[in-house]
Amino acid sequence: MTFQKLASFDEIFVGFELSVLHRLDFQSIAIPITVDPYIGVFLKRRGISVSTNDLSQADWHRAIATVQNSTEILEPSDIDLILEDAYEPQTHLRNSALKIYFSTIDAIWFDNVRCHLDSLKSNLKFAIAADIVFRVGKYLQSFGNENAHLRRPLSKVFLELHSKMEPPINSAIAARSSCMQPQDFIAESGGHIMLLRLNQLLAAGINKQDWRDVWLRGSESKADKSSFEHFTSRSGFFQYLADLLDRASHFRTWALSFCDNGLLNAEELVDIVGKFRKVEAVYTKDFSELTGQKAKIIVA
Amino acid sequence: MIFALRLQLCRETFKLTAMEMFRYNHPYPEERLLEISSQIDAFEQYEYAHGLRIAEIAEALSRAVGLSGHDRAMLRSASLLHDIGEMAMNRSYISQDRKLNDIELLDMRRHPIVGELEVTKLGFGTGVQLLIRWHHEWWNGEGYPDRLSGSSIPLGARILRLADCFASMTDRRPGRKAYSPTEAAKYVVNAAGLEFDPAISDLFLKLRLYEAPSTKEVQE
Repeated sequence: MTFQKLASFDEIFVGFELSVLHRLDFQSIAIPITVDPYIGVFLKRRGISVSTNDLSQADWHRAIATVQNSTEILEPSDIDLILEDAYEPQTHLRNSALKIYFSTIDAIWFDNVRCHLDSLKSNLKFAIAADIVFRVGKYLQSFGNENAHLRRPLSKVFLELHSKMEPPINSAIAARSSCMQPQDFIAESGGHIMLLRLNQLLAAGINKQDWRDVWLRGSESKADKSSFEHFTSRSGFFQYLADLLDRASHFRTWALSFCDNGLLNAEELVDIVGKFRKVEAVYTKDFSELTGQKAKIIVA
Repeated sequence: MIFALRLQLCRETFKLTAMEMFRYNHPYPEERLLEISSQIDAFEQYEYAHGLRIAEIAEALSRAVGLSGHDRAMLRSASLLHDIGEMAMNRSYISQDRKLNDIELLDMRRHPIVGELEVTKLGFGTGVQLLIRWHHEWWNGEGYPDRLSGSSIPLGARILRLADCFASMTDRRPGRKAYSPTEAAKYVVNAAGLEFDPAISDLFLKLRLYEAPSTKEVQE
């Protein structure tokens, strides 16, 4: 299997991560690349101070909606505004790149909804609505030609996903979400523990276009040129990782979470971590019987 | 009497011989497996054989998708024991005739992992353990405990999710009445692409499994 193929693997076993974190004593956590913000939600509910970071604008918006947000919700009037005439064709799509990812009718829905989001009164409401739209897109992409007859109108799916949203966690404990380079985030953040998701870090370095970021731009404008390093080899990634760890000495504990899939393996990673501090434990959960994966967390 | 009927049903449905059970490395004879499943059903206050009903639906789906005998045997054990974690947690709110509050819901979300540990103690293999761990994972990644999504969720766990949900909906539960098979089938349609794999939902509907006689009807 090629480096690119292995590096694009970005599965997270959140239940396993949480079970390991439960064993550690900490009141604050920093996650330099989050992707799925649920772990932040769960820890915030436990009274932990959470700082998340993402490279993708889309992932960042999800984290704002779910982790950073403490009180904001979408009111019925907001929903009306977002979904008003969502299937009404305009003279042209504001963002024609959506047609790369969706059929014309679906692209119209996404284009109109994106335009309506600009009328929302707060950035938090924008992020909540964007988070729901991302989930609608995921819903849409899960159907093929053979089961497309089961698909429902996207506005109905939006309403259903909104109705099932858990209310934000109104906690006095600080929670923040940022979108910057991982090394900058590490330098700027404090906290008892740093959770570093290595597969997500690797996958972020694979140059792939995400429809969610295209949709977020809302127009024909070009994407911002990402300055994030694109890894082309394991050694390049390991060098980058060593640089990150060198900057992370102010965290009392490091937890490096990854799947041992041939590209990342515990022995090499323990060697890298061991150059900076003593490895306390390596936790393993063997999911290989059904998924081919072994999830591991190195605690140092 | 009911237990004997369940055993007969199980044998007829799965057509597993003692030799097959041995080959698939089940630590328990069929009778013992059904006995534990009955205890779980009783704890959860199901009026009829819930675990067996799930196993029947899961068997029909897994045959249709062409799962191997080994995988179907794992899925059968996982179907019968899927909520063993709830029984092990032994929470009083399970039997109360009301909806659970937020704290209870969060507590209940631990039951797949507790269940995984319980079947490990009983000697079941990793496959059965993981199917039980993942029987509440949702196709769109919003299930628990690991928040797996799409095809990252093993096919057996995707089948188990739908079978469990449909069987549970069509039985009376504390705090709500039983849905009709038609109402529950409508839910299967609406939850395709969200909770359920659309391909499995489609198969469930095409095979008209919602029309199959329930365990209640067979027992009556």
